Amino acid sequence: MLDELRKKAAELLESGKVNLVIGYGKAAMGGRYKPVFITDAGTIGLLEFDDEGCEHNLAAYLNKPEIKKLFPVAVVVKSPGAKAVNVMFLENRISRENVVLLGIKTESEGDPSFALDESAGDALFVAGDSAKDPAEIDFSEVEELEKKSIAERWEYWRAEFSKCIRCYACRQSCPICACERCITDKNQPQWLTTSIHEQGNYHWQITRAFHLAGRCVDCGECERACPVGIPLSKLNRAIAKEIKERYGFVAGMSPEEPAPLATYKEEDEQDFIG
Amino acid sequence: MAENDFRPRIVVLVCKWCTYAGADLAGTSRIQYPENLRIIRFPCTGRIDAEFIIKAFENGADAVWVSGCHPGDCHYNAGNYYARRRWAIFLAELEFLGIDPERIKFTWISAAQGRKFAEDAAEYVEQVRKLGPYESFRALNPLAQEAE
Repeated sequence: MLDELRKKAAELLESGKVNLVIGYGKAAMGGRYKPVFITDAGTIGLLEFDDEGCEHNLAAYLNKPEIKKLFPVAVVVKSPGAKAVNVMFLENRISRENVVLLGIKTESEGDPSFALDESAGDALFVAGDSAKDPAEIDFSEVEELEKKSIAERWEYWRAEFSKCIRCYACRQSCPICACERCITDKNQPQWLTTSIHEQGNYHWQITRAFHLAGRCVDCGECERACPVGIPLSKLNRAIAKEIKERYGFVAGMSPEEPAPLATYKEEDEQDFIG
Repeated sequence: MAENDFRPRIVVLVCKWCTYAGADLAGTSRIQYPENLRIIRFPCTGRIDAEFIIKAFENGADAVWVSGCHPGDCHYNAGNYYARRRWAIFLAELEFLGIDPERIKFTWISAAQGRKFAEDAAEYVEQVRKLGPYESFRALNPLAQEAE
């Protein structure tokens, strides 16, 4: 599979179809992988793949201005990356001609296989995990916490958010969280305080998760990036659970289906309204 | 009363076409309702950002009440439909984080429902009085300068 991937990536570069290939490569520390950016087909040997070790969601790079300058590009994606790309298509953040997807399908038995999507239709077409339905999200951790009382949940999250140092690694590593001017950076008016303070931290965490409602694809990059170990994915998944239950929507499944908070139905459930 | 000197402060975020007019009707009809409300007028509930609810708590609100036009009656046709979805998800998120859902109230109150506004106000103020001041949220910022 790796040979096939390298061959195709090199072809794309040589033919000029893309200017850059974003993929995984071996990191300096044994057994680890890191993102690589290949512009020269001669160095295509740097491209590697290992299903367990290659976790990063490379779709995040498609937001960066330095990468956009090199469009069109090719990017290696697994299922979470493909979902993120779908959201980017839906939100018109990248157009389909600018990206070629080198999709990895992990098989339940045997080695992963590789598929190419040059017409960039539905990104999930090329990437996936045959053992898992991409619309299935594991909500067990969310349900665990839901069993606790309001006061217990408050204590739990207060302890977690007090660790936040406002480094914004979660924001930077997220493929979807990519506003040119983040609400927390605005100071006219100042919506959130930016200092490392419990109240501001709470505000930041609530706001970030909420701005990702119906958009987060649960790739887990934020939680991996967080230097103090806040369970960010759990909060994102709690919101995703509510959205799935109320509106039957899962983010990233299609580049066409409108986002749940950007649309409405007259019959929407209003049990919470007095 | 010495027993409970607590005066709840409730921030009310309303749309100007329906609930604000309803509250105004309560006033012109001389229907008494408690003075614990701080009413903030928006052109439409669709304009109400989730941010405002958090900011209300940060500035010392013990509860937040959001109200607007009934579905189908929005002056801008669909603002309240979008707001409804937003509130549903935001409320779920806050509840998951341990913020007391009884401290946030959502209603649809039309411009003709002056009496309902006054009755709901009285009922909610009592409810919040029993809940007490929002100490756990205040504890996040003990040095806060709170708005009156």
